[in-house]
Amino acid sequence: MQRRNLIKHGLGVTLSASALIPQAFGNTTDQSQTPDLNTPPFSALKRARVVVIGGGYGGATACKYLGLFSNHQIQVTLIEPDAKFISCPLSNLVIGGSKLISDVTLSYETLQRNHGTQILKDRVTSIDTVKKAVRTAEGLQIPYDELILSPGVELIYSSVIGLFEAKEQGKILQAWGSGEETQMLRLQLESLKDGETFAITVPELPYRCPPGPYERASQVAYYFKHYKPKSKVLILDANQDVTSKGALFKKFWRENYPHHLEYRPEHKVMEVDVKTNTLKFEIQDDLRAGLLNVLPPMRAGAIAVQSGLANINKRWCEVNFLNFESTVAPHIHVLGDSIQAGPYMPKSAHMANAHAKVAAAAVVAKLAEFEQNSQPFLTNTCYSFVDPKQAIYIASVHQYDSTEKTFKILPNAGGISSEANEREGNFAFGWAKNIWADCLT
Amino acid sequence: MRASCFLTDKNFYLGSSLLVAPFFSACLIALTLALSFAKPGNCANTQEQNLQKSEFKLNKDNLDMSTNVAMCAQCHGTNGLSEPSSGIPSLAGMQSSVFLQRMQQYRLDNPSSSVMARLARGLTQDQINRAATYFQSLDRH
Repeated sequence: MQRRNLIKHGLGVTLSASALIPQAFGNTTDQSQTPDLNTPPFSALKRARVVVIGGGYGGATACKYLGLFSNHQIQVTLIEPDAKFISCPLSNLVIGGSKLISDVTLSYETLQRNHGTQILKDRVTSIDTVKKAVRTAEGLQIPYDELILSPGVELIYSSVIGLFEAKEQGKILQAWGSGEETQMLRLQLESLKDGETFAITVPELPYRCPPGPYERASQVAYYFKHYKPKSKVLILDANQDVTSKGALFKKFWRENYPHHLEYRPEHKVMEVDVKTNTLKFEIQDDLRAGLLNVLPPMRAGAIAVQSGLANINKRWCEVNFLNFESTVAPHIHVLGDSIQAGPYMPKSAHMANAHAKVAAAAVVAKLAEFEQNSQPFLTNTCYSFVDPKQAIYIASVHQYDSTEKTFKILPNAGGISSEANEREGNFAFGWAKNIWADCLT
Repeated sequence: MRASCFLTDKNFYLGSSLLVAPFFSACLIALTLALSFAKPGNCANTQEQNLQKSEFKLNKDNLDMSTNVAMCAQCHGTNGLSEPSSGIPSLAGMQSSVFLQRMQQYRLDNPSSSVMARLARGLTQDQINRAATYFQSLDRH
């Protein structure tokens, strides 16, 4: 797309965007004064170009809030290879069979229509931190004043021998980013014979969505209990115990899936043999199963690693938590699952959305030459479904600590639900509707 | 996305939260009106009014405040406007006295150990007071 067209289009959509946001962030003290967009700080924002890489929960939210906080004056370009936003939260229900992939699929069009985000269906192949420009697979070179990088995670296939080949053959899937593989895994489960075992392996922390593997195991156990009663789910966990909501998951499994789910800690998978569907572990005996779902260790999204931004153990990107700017490269703000997280800060959708708001505000403050917020805080809420309707949650509040320069979890706040129930399940569906809108519309 | 009705959520919430119920119903009506304004082909005057009202007065205090209250939006919707079928109440236009009373109840873990109770205990009284004032100032549509 021609740059001129992008700009023209961007300005064109601003009007309709504002009409759809009737009272976006109205001034709390004086609503009678209308800002003049041609004077500072808006005139400075008008010239600014912000590129956002990755349209997941972090990147999409960043696009929207850059628009809201700047009165849609900043020119925001989202570069995302996928045509649709497919949610990871709720996608385990697709694997369990109670939802369809269409139930968790949303459009990016609202970001463009309501917030003027210019959306390029393309993939960034390199970042030139000196020229401040990104290159894409389609051959575009796109300059930026500030870059927001939210590429999610990359699965480290090489850490499990044979896994990459098994994945290439479509035999051992991960489905750890929602989409085609989610549906393929569902089909694999449907074709499993009654009596065969489904084995899911969990990597050592940190990885994307700590409770995700246990939620998935729960969904498959529910499916087996009702449709393949002789089959069983085996969780093979590299960690010493369930890494999130452990007591709640284990209680529910004990009471509801005693014959359909078994949990085994300290099982670190080292190798897969795709011919015999066998898992080989660091210590424990080999194990065969009818269907394998092997989740390898993870690191920051590939573009972050390639660009030298993953400076912690070559896996995660260290950031300044006041503005999420990389400690390696100025003007690049990394958020979501790719960062070296603060203590007890999960790699979750809700958390990525929260990162994005702090980062978007910091970028707007920088461009408008304000002092950035010195006391940001983040919230996290994470629901897990244990069957098609009942859910459990974990919630936390993270306050920035200026002494330690990190977000610290508040010990007097947060916690887990008292039990699994449909009430929390209903709130989980409500949460999904609102966070989807908060990211995209 | 498959259209589905979440009457169960709503009924539960309405039944369990008398304080918020009338407000929530009012919000549903308000949202319906808001959506009707957003339809294409609307008269220019209405659009103009909405456009002016939408403008964000950019200064440091407003930016910091908006970032903080945006931490409510994942569950309660952007600008405190919850999706009508979510079963989660909108906060936009809520009387500050109601907001403060509800938050105090949550901080005391009453009526239940809900997500909101867990999060409310992580907010300072000053943050809650400012959020109460902020959400009261927002239109319900």
